[in-house]
Amino acid sequence: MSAEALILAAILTALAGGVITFLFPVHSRRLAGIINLAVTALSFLLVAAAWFGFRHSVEFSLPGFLYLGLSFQLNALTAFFALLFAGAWVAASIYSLQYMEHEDNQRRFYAFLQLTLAGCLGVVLAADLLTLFLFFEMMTFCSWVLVLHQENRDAMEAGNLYLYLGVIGGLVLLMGVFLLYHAAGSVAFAAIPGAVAQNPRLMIAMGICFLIGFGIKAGMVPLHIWLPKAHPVAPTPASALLSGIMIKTGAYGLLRVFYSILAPAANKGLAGAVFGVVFLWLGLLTMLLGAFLALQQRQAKRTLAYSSVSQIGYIIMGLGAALLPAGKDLYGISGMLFHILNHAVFKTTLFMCVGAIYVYTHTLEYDHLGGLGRKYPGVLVPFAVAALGIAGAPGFNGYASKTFLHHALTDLYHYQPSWWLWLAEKLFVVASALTICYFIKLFVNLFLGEKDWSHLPDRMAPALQIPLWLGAATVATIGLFPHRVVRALIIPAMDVLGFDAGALDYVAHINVWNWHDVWGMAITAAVAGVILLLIYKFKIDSLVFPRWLSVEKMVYRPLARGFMWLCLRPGVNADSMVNRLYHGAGDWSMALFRLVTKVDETTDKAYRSAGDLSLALFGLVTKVDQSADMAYRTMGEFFALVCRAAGFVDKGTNSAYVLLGKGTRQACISLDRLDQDLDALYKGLGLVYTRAASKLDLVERKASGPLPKKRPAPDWLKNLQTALAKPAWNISNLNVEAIVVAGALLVVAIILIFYSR
Amino acid sequence: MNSVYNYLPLWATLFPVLATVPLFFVERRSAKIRDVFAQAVTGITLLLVALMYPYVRDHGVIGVSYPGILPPFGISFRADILGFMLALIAAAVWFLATVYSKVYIGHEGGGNRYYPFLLLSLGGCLGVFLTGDFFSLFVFFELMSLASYVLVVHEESDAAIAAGYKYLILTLIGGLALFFGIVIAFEVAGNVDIAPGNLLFAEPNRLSFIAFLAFLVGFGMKMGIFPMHVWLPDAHPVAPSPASALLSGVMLKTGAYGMIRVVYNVYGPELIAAAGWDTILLVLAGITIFLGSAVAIAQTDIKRRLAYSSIGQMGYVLLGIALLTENGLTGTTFHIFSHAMMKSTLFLAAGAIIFKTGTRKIKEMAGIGFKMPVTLGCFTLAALAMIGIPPLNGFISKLILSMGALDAGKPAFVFLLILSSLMNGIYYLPIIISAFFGVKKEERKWSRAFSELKPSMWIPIAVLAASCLVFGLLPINLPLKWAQIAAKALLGAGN
Repeated sequence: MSAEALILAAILTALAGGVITFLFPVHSRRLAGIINLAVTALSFLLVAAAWFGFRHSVEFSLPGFLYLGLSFQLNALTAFFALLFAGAWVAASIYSLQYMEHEDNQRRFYAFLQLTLAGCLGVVLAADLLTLFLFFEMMTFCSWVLVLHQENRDAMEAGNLYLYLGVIGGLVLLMGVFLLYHAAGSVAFAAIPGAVAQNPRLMIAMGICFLIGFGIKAGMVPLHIWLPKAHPVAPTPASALLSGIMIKTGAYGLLRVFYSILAPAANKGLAGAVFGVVFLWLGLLTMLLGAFLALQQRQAKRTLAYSSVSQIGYIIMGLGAALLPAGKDLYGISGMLFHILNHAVFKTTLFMCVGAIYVYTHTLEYDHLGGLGRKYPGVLVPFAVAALGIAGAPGFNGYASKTFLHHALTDLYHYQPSWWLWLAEKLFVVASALTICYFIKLFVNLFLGEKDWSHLPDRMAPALQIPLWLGAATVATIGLFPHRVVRALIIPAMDVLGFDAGALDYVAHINVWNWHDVWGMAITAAVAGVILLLIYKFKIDSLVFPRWLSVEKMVYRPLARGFMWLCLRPGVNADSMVNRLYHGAGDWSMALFRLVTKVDETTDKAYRSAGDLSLALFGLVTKVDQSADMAYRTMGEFFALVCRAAGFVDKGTNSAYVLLGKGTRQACISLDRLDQDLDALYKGLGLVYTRAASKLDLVERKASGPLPKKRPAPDWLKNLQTALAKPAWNISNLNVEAIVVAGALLVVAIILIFYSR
Repeated sequence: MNSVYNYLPLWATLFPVLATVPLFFVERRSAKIRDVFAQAVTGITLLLVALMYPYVRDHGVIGVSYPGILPPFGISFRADILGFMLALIAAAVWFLATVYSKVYIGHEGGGNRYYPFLLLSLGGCLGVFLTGDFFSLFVFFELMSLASYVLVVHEESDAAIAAGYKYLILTLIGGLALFFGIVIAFEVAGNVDIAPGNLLFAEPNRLSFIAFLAFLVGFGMKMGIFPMHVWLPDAHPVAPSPASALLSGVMLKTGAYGMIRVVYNVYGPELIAAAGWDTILLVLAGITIFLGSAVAIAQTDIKRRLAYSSIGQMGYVLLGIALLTENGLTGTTFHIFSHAMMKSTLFLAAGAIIFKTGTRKIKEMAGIGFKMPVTLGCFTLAALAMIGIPPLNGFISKLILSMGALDAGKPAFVFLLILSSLMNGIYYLPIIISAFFGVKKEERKWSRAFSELKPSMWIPIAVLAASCLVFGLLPINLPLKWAQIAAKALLGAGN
């Protein structure tokens, strides 16, 4: 098998293991845990085989996947992280076997534990930012299920905060990736350096995006607020991995983006100057605030969570020191990488120690604990070793990495003496001293004192203890042989980041076992002592003293509290102010959303009222129309009436005319008859005249001649004959008047006849 | 035009319309045959659309035209890669929704009215994507709008009637505006053909601006662009869930398709940019994105929330159109595909929840994930795709759209996209969280997987949800390839 296949197999094993565990019901509770352990161990072995089997850098891509293609790389740097992550996962998986016995819903827990491993491995093995982002999101979402595992109110609240900040961080990060991709045309780590240096505004914008995106995951102040809530509520194996491993993905991202892309060693430029200062001071702030808040916690896991915040500050401070162009960056980077390794080891160990106690006591409140050292020395010793590691005691691993980081500051001061670097160095010492203080407080509260734990079993389950001892042994081994670790792991990793041979050789020969550095540690311890004196004296008294000294309790405890209040209040305020800021921003945006809703509703209302208005308008127009219609109709009726009247008049006139006509015709007929009569008269006259003439003629003739013998018939007779032949009283000669008169007579006759009876 | 003579676009469009006639006689006999018949019709339609692929791939443009029908415009059918891709999406989602409808509508009743109109609106929708000129497009656009009205008012509740009324009125206004624009274009150019290089307006004068506004109102109304979106959050939730999925998942896209054609085939990107009208589109897109996402947060009804989410997502699509860059256009086209898959999944899943529990209130859905693991699993996948979580398809469209915005020199829109993604997270994640987490122990029993719904309901959901993953992660991303080809072709058309 090639190294490429092994790398993919490592990620896919975890992925497939998670999916299978989730989808296929495993009825035995143990079996899910054993599958998880096997899958995790297999992933670890695959990564180890890929690196140790081939021992050379591999970079390959899967073109076409997710549009731009996915690409992975295996080299000393990524192998360092991947092996660290998978190794811690194996330890936590062993631990889970026993620890998860008392938790519900184991199958889901194991499934998402494996999926989260796949995400973490993908983040560090990615060769480009898009692949990194893919696995980064996967890690966020899968680990979220681990955070809210217990599903009580605290867990849900912490889970929500974790998820939403994770989503916000992811999106801001994505914005940075987009800007970078657009500016450089590629998202591969190898291809980018130098491509984006031209545009300072763009570069600053990108830098801020990456700072926020990775900073949230890393738990950098002021983006850390989710961390102290989410880490304690998760089941302990998950807390250990969250604190020990997952926040390192943020640090890894910051390292790759800022050290490889924005401000590469060869050309740090503006980005180095700006973000170097930013990271240096954010790192210091994170260290101090985290340590300060860890000091005031009264619950073991919360203390450890704040401690993680503080320790990530060291790592970020190292990056900041390396980014600054003034000094040698090799101290910062080597210290950062070394501290990532060391913190992963001791923080997982510490969480698992605390969790082992919790399995039996079911509480981690300081007030309910104490005196467990005698009961469980198997926890006490690993805890003490890891605590010495984190406190930086010489001979334990934290000493070496803190010394490196301290050198980074003193080296900067050496090249560029200024008051703020001097202050930074002093603050570094104070933060380290505070670390010692809160671990003393934690240790004392857990293990010292008198408390009756006789009801608990004496022997601890081996699955709980093995990882603790493994961790403690690693702490001690690294602490005793820091130079070997540096040469074996840190220097090859720095080689990948582009350090030249001289620098690597220099790092290889840094000796932490010198009087100066040990003396520095002693000063830190002395400061811690002073702080202890200042803070703890009253408090320890009030806590350790038995109950019967109630007067002291009544008197000193409020005094100690008052003192603590005076000391810690500024820190609490800062923390809660940041918290409130977040809440305020949330409220504000909700108010804004409500406002937008209102705008939307108003728009909606405007539409509705426009509709109503037009409906009303239509109604009005209809009404006008109707009344016009009615007016017309009335008018029409009126005119019809007028017409009818005119018709009557007309008919009357007509009949008058007809009557007149009839009268005229009658008159004409009468005239005609008169004319005829006249005619006849004339004719008669003519005849008379003719007769007279002929008589005269006759007379003349008589006078002159003989008279005619026969006398003709008289004229009246002739007329009568003519009249008889052609009677004048024809029916057509009857007229209306005659009929009327006749009718009237008839009626009168009828009446007369009727009444005469 | 060098288009290849091919009857497939014609048949794909007319087949579902003609199939309503036998359906009318079949559905009176038996509901069972009716369901099978409707599924068969949509299945064959999907096949007909898919059969176009070899021709479209080899020849670019295929189609037939009948200038004699409805002169002077004529009717023509045409498929290029963009039309084909959208038609394929439409036919596929329609087929799945029809399969899903069997149980859902069987439960709800009124299937005898529902199915014919489902097929009619499929025909209308395909007609919009597969026609070769704006007049034919308009005819099918109206067919789809009116047929889908019946789907909106299906339940005939008071709310449905009111919403349907609003939908109808605004759709009519949009249709009239669109027709107005088409008439102006016809008057100016003498034809309204959709063809590369055939830009209908040559210069930015007052008339062409009026036509532009008319097109914007017409297609923007269908698309749900601010301030024309008011009908959408009323109409989409009241429809039966398969119809909501089609309304939100596919029919909104006809407006987007029209806007793409208007910007790239009617005016051309040069004219739009020279006249500065892209600013109008960008401002509207920005408001739409913000408003849709923000208001969705305030919703308590799951389907209303999804409907507002659709408004925001259509803002993305308009943004991609308005950017006038190749990446923007590719992103838009791919987002049309992505959103069709995501939103159909979400609506069908929401419908399944309402079907099973009878509640639409998000607050009452706590612990639902344990009762319906497959449905809620698909819902979760699609919701994560909406937020833009890799490796799902929503992430890829967001990535390409952002590149388009940066190409255009507008990084503010990248910020807006990111902000909107966050808001998507704010309104989708609580549903998922309360579905799976924070449940009392006794209620936390997993029901036996797959016993939650009938297979004919969960298989369509699962297919759609799986496509969100497959077409995001896997290298064989055909829709993305098509989107790239289509974007190249459209931008080439402007030169």
